[in-house]
Amino acid sequence: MKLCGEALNQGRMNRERKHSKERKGGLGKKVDKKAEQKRVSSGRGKTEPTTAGIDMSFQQPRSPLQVILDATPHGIVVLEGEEGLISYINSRALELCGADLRGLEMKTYSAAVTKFLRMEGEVYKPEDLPAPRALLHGERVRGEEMIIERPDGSRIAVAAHAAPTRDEEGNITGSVGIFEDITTQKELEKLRSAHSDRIEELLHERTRELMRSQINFGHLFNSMPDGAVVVDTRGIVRFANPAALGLFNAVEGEFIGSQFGMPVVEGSAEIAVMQEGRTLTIELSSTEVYWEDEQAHLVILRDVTTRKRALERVRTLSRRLIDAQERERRYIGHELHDEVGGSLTALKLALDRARHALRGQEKAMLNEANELLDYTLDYVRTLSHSMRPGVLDDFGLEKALRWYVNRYTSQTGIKVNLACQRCAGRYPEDVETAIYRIVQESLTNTAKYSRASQAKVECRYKDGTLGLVIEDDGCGFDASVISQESMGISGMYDRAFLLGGTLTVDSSPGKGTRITCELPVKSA
Amino acid sequence: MEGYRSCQRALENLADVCERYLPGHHSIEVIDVAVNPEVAASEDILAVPTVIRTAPLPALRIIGDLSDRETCMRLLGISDHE
Repeated sequence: MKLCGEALNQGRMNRERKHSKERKGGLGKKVDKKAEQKRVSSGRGKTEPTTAGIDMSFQQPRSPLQVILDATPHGIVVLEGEEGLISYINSRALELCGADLRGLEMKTYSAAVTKFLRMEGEVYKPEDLPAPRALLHGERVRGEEMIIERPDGSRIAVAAHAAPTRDEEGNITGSVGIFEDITTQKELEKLRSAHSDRIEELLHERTRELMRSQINFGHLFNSMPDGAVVVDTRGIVRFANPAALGLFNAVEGEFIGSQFGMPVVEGSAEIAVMQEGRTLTIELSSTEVYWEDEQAHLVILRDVTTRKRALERVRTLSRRLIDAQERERRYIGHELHDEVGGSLTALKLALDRARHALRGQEKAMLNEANELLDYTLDYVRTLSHSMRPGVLDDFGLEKALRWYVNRYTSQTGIKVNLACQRCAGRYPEDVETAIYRIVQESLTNTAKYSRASQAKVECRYKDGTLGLVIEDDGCGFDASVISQESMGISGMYDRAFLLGGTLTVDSSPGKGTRITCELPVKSA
Repeated sequence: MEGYRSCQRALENLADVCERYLPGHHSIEVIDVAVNPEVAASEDILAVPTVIRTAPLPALRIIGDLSDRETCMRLLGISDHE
């Protein structure tokens, strides 16, 4: 601070002191700045350059050091003597304070000029300001943050530094105060703090959500009836829920870390798990996940043993039902053909003999009876064949289909194009029956509902599968609303399903109908 | 037995991959754990079908019907360059 003391032009300081004494302002008195400025200006006889509207003329002429001090970005104030007279104030300090504080004294300083406030908002007592503290107590102040409220009401934040100046004996002769404008810095800090608060709030929110979801996931995994196992890329178990432990009859401590194997399935597959002398059927599906930041597989295991057995029972019952139906049809067909047909044929022969023995009106009456009998015989024969065509049992699928299609066209007028490929041989009876019945049901529906003029039936054997396609050019229907109660179509589905095959119905209004069926055949 | 179809499918898929990409350089041993339950116990087999690759090392265990051909080949370390 000695350097600062030397730097000040002593003559100017004396002038300032004198000037200060001339001023009427003091503690508790309001300073008339306009009058003051006018007085100072007129005293100089000309208008001097100003800083922040404050006359700087008193500091003329300026030494090089003074020029430097005026050019510094920090405000500098020098107090002298016991009264704490402001003996020097640089341009930046005037600008920061927004008022001319020259010549004022610490002890008589009025806060009405420029207010100095603590960051908490409390107004400083003059003696508590950094520079006066340095002057009065020899205190060195570093970076004390405060608010300066200018006379126009605007506020800035500054960091104040202060240190005492001493004479050669070490006695305090004054002090120097330096103000550093930290308004922008504080605003940025405030902004950062606000953002930081928001970020922290968001972070907490996300953490809470994450914890909630983890709790939910944990609860979900622990309470779900399906087994859930997480395996790492070596197939080692990293996590297993209680249901999974139950499926493998394992305890968690032993199961975690054991070799499960890498799941390789497309969609899902059934696996078998041996458990205490019985075998469980488990549906396994898998999906890639991240477990503790590492790639892993989440394997879901659903015990379908009961469902599968129930399905097997339904399948067995359906098969028995269809078999019984076929047996019954075959029996009724044979009865109609052999018994009823035979009796009617015998009756016809007897009627013929009687007819030949009669003349006139009696003979004409018997002719009518004979025609009725012919019709009945034909009807019974047709009924017998529709129950169970003997040609299917005797000559196989292709011939049975040709017989049926010909009879169908003659009865309905709908032309049917039948194409058979490699299906002249014999196939298992249930397969031949299923194909025949599906064609029969499909073409019956075509005749009943489609108003089609023609239809096409393709049947071919390839790679162990009998494929069937039945198409018509009729009015079609909305295949997405096929009722489960539609006996005809559900019967077709059942037949295909029971033989391990598939059946699909494609149709839409105005687009005809296409039925596709594939049945596996073990041996052709 | 239950899971028979999956076992059949796994065997077919495995045999197909090996015959196509490792002709003459592989051998497949099928162990029916229903017939040899002691093997299942000694090998810690939890479920069937399980495929254990014993060579090349390290040993690797796969569970499922191997219907995901791409993953199966990747795990077995088989390249698709025929």
